[in-house]
Formats: sequence, C-alpha cells, structure tokens
Amino acid sequence: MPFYLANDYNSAFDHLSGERKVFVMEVIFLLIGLGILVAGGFLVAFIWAMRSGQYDDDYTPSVRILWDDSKKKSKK
Amino acid sequence: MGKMESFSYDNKIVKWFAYATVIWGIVGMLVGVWAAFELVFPGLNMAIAELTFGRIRPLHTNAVIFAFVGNGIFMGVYHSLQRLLKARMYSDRLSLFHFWGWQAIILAAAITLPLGITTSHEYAELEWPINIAIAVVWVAFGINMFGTILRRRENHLYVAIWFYIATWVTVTILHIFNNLSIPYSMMQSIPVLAGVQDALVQWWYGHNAVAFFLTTPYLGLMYYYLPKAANRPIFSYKLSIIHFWALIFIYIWAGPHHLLYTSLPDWAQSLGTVFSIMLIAPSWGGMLNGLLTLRGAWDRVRQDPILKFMVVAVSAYGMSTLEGPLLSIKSINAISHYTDWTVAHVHVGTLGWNGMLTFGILYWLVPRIYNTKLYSMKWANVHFWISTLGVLFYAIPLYWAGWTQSMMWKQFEPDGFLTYPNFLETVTQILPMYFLRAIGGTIYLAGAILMGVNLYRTVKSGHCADDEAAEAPALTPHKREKGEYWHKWIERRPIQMLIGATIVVVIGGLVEIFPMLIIDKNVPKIASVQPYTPLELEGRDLYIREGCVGCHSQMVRPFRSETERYGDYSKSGEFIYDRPFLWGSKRTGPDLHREGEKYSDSWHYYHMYEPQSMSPGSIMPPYPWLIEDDLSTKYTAAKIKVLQSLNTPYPKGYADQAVKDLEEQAREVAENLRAEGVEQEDLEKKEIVALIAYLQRLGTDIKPKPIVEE
Repeated sequence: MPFYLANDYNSAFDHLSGERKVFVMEVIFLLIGLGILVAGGFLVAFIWAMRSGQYDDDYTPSVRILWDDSKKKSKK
Repeated sequence: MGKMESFSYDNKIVKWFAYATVIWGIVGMLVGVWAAFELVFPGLNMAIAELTFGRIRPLHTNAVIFAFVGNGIFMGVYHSLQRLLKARMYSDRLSLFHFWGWQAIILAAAITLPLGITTSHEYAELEWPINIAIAVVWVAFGINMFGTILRRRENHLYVAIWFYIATWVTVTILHIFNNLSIPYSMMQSIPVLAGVQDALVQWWYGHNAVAFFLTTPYLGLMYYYLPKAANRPIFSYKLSIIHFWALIFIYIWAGPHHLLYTSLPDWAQSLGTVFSIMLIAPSWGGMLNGLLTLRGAWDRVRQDPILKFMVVAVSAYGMSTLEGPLLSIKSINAISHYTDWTVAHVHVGTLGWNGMLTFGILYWLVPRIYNTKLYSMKWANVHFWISTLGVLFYAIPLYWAGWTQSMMWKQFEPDGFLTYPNFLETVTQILPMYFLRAIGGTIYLAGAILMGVNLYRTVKSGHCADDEAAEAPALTPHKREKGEYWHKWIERRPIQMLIGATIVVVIGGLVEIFPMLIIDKNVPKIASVQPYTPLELEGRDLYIREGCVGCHSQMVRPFRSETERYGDYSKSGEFIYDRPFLWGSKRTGPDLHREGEKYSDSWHYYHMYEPQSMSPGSIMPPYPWLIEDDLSTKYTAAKIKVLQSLNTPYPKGYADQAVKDLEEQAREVAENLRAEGVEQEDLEKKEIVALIAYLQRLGTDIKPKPIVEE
C-alpha cells in the first residue's frame, strides 16, 4: 500500500515521460510502529509503577536517598 | 522487613569510568579545539588526510558524546544505581566487560574516523563491525543494570533509575534501526534506506541521541547528585515523576525538526515542530525542580564550587531546552538552519549542561570513593569560572556569526539581485568570530585540564575503597501466590524476564523490518533520475570519506534567496538512489546540490588541489592526495551488487561490467581535463577523476537539457 505525500517538494516533473511523479515515504510506518512500541512499553511500565505502589509515597524516597548505608569504616 | 544483610558496593568500576571520563573528555575537547582553529587557519590541516576538518569533526563529536559523556553516564549509573538499590552490581564480570568493551569501541572509532571509514550519518558515523560491538556491550550493560534492579534491597525505584531504564531501552532501538545496512567489505556498508527515508530515520535517531544519550541519563544523574551535593531532598518528588513520564512520551517524535524546509513532507515537519514545542513544559519542569532544590541553600552555592557547577549546568539545560523548541519553529529555523546558530545551541547544551554537570559530579564523587578531601577547592573554583567564561566565549561569537551569515545569505539589492552573490564573502566576514570561538574552546579545555590535575592529586592523597561495605535489610521474599499478577512473578526472575523481553523486541523488530525490505518496489521513478555510474559512485564514496558533508549541504530549500544562489530547490524524487543521503546540516561552505555543470572539470581539479588558487581567502583545506592517489576499484562490483539487492535498477549482471565502464568514463574525464590544460601522468587512474565525475553529476538529472550553449 503506497503512502502518498502530495506536496510540492515530494513531486517532480519527469521530463522524459512528461508526468508529474509523487513520492512515497513508507518508512514512516516503521517509525510509527517503533514509536508505538516504545511508548507502549513505557505505558506498561507506567501502569506497573502505579499499580505496584511505586508512587503511593511521593515524599520519602527523596529524603531516603540522602542517607548513606555504608558501614562506618574501622579498617583503612 | 527482612533481616539485615551485609554486602559491598563496587567502587572499582566507578573509579575506572571516572578516569576514562576525564581522559577522554580532555582528548575529545582537544580535537574540538584543533578543528575550531582549522576553520580559521586552514594551514593547520597540514595537507594530511587524517587531520583534515572533514575527518576530525566526527572524531570530535564521537569522542565528546560517546567517550566523555558516555563514560560519565556509566560512572554515575554504576555509582548511584548500587546505592539507590542497596545492592552491588549484578555481575562484576559484566561490569569489566562493559568497561573494556566500551574503551575498545572508542579506540576503534579513534582509528577508523581519521581513516575516513564513516557512514556519514551524523553521530552514527561508525561502521558496521563497530556498531555490532556497540550493541553487544550495550546489551551487557543492560543485563547488568536490570539484574541489579531485580536483586535490589529497596523496593521503590527512585526517579533517577527510571531515567536510566528509558535511556537503555530507547538507545537500543535507535541504534539498531539507524544502522540497518548491508556490508560490502569487512569494514564498510551501504544503508538499506535511501534519500528522504534515510534522512527521516537518521534525524529520528540524531535527535533522540541528544534526547536519550545527552539528556535522560544526565537528568537521572541530576536527580541523584544535585540533592546529594546540596544535602537536601529534591524540591518536588512528584514533579520529578511527572517530568520523567512526560519527557519520554514526547521526545521520540521531535526528530523531524532537523529537516524543516527540506524535501521531507510538510506534515512530518509540522509534527516535529509540535512535539518540539510541547517539550518546553517537561524540560522546564525538570530545570525548575533542580534549581528550586537549592531554595534556602543559596548561601552554600556561593561557597561550594560543586553546587555552582550544578546550578550552571541546570540553567544551561533550561536555556537550551527553551532555545531548541524555538529553533523548531519553521520561521526561526529558516534563519538558523545551516548556520553556526545551531552549533552555538548545541554547545550551550553540551559544554553547559553535560560538561558542567560532569565536572560537578566528578568533584563530588572522586573524593568520596577515595575517602579523602578534594585536593584544592580553590582550583575547583577557578575551574568553575574558567569553564563558565569558556562557554560564553564559545557561544556568543557563534551566535553572532550565525545571525550575520544568515542575514548575508538572504540579503537582496533593490534591483532583485543577491547582495552577496559570492558565498565566500559571507564566510570571510565571520572569521574573527570563528577565531574567538576557538579561544573560548581553548579556555574551556584549560579548565578541564586543571580539573584533571586536581583530581589526580586527590586520588594520590586518598585510598579507594574498591569494595565499600554496606548493610541493608533484605526485601521480604515473595512466593507466587494465588491470583498474583504474572508480572509480579516474572519481575523476580531476571533471566526469564530478559529472555521474554528479548523475544518481544525481536518479534517487534522483524515485523517492522519485513515490510521495509519490500517497499522499494513501490517507489515511483522519474525516468530522468538515474542511478550513479560506477565512477560517480566511487566519487560519492570519496566525498563521504573526506567528510565533505560536514561543511556542505545538498539540500536547496524553497526560498528565493537559495534558488537565486544555487538553482532549483531540491525534490525528494532526486534522492531515491542516494545511499546514504548527504543533505548535511551545516553550510560552512556553499550548498552543492546544484553544483553539477556549474564549473569546468579543471576548476574542480585545481580547487581540490589548492582551494585558495580558485577562491582566494577560502578556508577549505587542500586535498592533494586525491590528485596523487590511485582510485581503488576493489569494491566497485561488490557495491553494485549490494545496490542491486536494494532495487537500484542496474542491468542484470552489471557488476561484471562496472569496472570497465568506470575506466572508460575516467578516460573521458581525464581527456577533458587534459584538453583544459591539466598535465599529469596517469590522470585517469586518480581519485580526483571520480570525485569530479560525481560533483559534475550533482543535481543535473532534472535539469532540462540543453540549457545554454557554451
């Protein structure tokens, strides 16, 4: 199924056949597919994060990262 | 809560990535400074092929993006991920493999790019064997990261980790799909896509390289190291979560803004513009979140160079993410595109955001893992001011240069003629700005060297705890319960999850690739647009090898100022045999799409030998080796075969005849050159003949012939 893109940059006059040719750009299907794949993947991740309670607490995590859990070094 | 467990953090890998960041940073910036001076003093090219601007410009971009920032990302991820998850990296062996693999890839790039082995796709210049190596190392990094996530002792995934995950996933996909190509030799290949399609995929990649290599991982680092350095929580954790999800959902479609007013369909251009403008919101949300974290602590910012670096970095992020969307508006892009405005914009982002944040993190992190104090806070302070000035001295002259040149390109006299019909005038006008820019870059580099010395002294004065002991309660182990989501179960099984994820990606990939491999049959063809002859094809590959695309576009935009200067605007049908596309994104020299038949063959011959002999004052480097070296036809037949497999309509069995045809056309060009007075032995065997054949073909296919009698 060709995907026609009718605007002036995408057509050109063919001096030999005397026709105006319009060009296709099907790679857009690939990119839309990949875009949906990536975005869909992230959507699933987002739903997972919401459902599993990742965002139930939206304050503590920001403080928790400030604590260090390294053991006090006794040996050098 | 589970019982307390003792484990250790791997600091050795962090330390190595930190060394690599500093060393490659200095090397990459040095190459950049050299390239910048070459633009002002073309003599610095020294007529050595491996040192010419066209070849070292990609070396600079690859070194600073993938070596400096790349190692910086890995340093920060390997350090922060372990602490955020309260777990050691999944596998020490994978960490080692990742480190050495990545350095080997950088080394391979540093060798192949000066040799002219390049795909010419911006920021994806590396050829197929190196691309496979990148994929392997990247997957190793992914397994290591996801393995650690699955073995974590902290259930909540801090926002930084989400940024790391998005980086890994998206870069994987971008890298694979922008490098689909068919090898014709051990080192080189021909891309599957041609012309406008190749252009769209390349800039879909190119923009997302900025988004998912220079931005999302660094935002992750910002969300960890800025609060750590300030010792206060991020201003709003909620906002950081919104920032993340909004940013990654929008970023992926902004790519077409690199192709405004080109032969890309209008609607695709508009799509790029719309998504780019939407990006202001999450980007600024992130910037404000970073800056407001310091609210109430600004007195400390006055004293602490680490916080100063971070504040300037986040501000630069804000500035470039406002400027980017503005540059994506068509009327602004009409002025900015192909000029140094773009280069200035990029460097505010890279020098300001990536560079300054990396410096801040290094100053914070290195003393910590070495159990010591930074050798000299004073030097760090000096470094801060040096690099801030360096950014200003770099960017301001280039903005000026961009605006000046663009105005000169578009200036008309009242009688309707271009005010500056000679492109060269618009170049010599901005040379003082180029000089200042090179000085700015040098200043910035000097700061980085000062940092190198400071960190070296710091390392010498301390001792790195390679395995830092830590304690954390275990996550309560789960059993698979009745009615539990399958997802919950698989989350706890890293290997099953990775296999599953790989299968999903591969199926997705195959489904997408399949239709693409058959599409070319549907492309309508203009009878007068013909495939390149073997000689032109080899000439085109020389054009790619020398990196001509770094300074010359092949895309005349539909503006009167351009059609007057160059000729008819470019149409997508003209590029259907262009593998790869060579539209370019910068005009340090004039556009070449309508170059064919503009000058005589001998003009090109002398111009390539000594550009200043034909265009006094030109900053183009000389290419004497093109005149001295014999053209290699070793791969001509192989290239023809690959192109035929991609539906380029050469006659059946043409590969066997290609070299003979090439030699015949070379003899014609050589005879023509001799008739014009060029004296050289074995002229028809030289590379220059192929390049001239290609340049004389450029943009002539749809010219009604004959135009004028000579």
